[in-house]
Amino acid sequence: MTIDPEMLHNLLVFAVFQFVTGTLGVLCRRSLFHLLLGGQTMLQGTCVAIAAISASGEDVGGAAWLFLIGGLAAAQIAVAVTFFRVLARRRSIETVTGHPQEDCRA
Amino acid sequence: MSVQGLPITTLIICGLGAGGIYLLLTQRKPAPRRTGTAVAAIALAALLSLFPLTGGNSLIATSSSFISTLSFLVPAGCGLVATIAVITSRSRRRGLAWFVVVVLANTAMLFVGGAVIVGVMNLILNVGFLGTLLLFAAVSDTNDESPAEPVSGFTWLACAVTALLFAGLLSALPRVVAAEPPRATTSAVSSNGFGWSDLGRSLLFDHGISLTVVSLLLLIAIVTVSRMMTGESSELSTQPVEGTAA
Repeated sequence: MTIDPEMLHNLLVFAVFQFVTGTLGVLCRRSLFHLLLGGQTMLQGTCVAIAAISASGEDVGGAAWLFLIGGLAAAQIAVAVTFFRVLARRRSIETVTGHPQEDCRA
Repeated sequence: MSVQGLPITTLIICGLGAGGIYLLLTQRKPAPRRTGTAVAAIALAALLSLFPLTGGNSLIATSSSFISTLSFLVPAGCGLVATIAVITSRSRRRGLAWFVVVVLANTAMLFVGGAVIVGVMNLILNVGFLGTLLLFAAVSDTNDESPAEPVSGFTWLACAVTALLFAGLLSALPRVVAAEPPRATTSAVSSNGFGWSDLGRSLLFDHGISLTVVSLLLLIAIVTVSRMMTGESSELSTQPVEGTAA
């Protein structure tokens, strides 16, 4: 598994583009779901850069880190999406009943 | 033609791209968004033209360098377009669909680049959280369109700053590629490239603590998700009675 320097350059340009665009999404969007997508886009760029550098140097450590980062991302997404869904449901309940839910369990 | 030594061209491309993305982010009417799309497409085409033409050590090992180059440029173009679409889409489902395209394009590019194992791993890992997101998008049948976001001067400032960041990182890339250490050829592993067994060995023996921590975090996430969903359903079962009483 090797990557020639030109392909490494191309992959790094692509990774930088994804990271910067994800940063722009995180900075500019207000919707929680799109913030999440922006963060994941940044993570994708990071993963591509790690994978390209790891494959270029024939270092298995980069691939291992990619595996660990993917596991963390899965955990983060699961909790964030559930949190988002609970918040949205609570907000719709408040809209229907007309009063905030102070006595709801956290 | 390389990005190296072309700071003015790079700055112009970044400025065009930032302007296009600004129009796509802030305008809700179709006409300015079409203008933004056109400007961003021109910037993307110019950016693609700056890529060094190479097919790499591709899986698609053909004698034609044109086809090898095309096999890189097609997923790269799809990935760039989809990345912009992810952050500028108004609908959640459309944004998620574009994000799936981003993941597939990344995997295809890693395949084309010759990093097959990492590409397969990228695809497998992304199935974990993409599955959760797709499930979420499938069950959220209401309020698909995100609410109107206020347009402020901060958006323009953020576009300018990120364009400058992109130009700065691009100008630093050739030095990073040149500083990459030469490939080791002495060990048997590096002469044949690494495989799945090497990856497993590295995960278990070199990154054992990190693997344990990530496994624990995944376990905590699973427990947290189930507890939050259980709390939500119990609230829902009690809520209509309270609402009626109020």
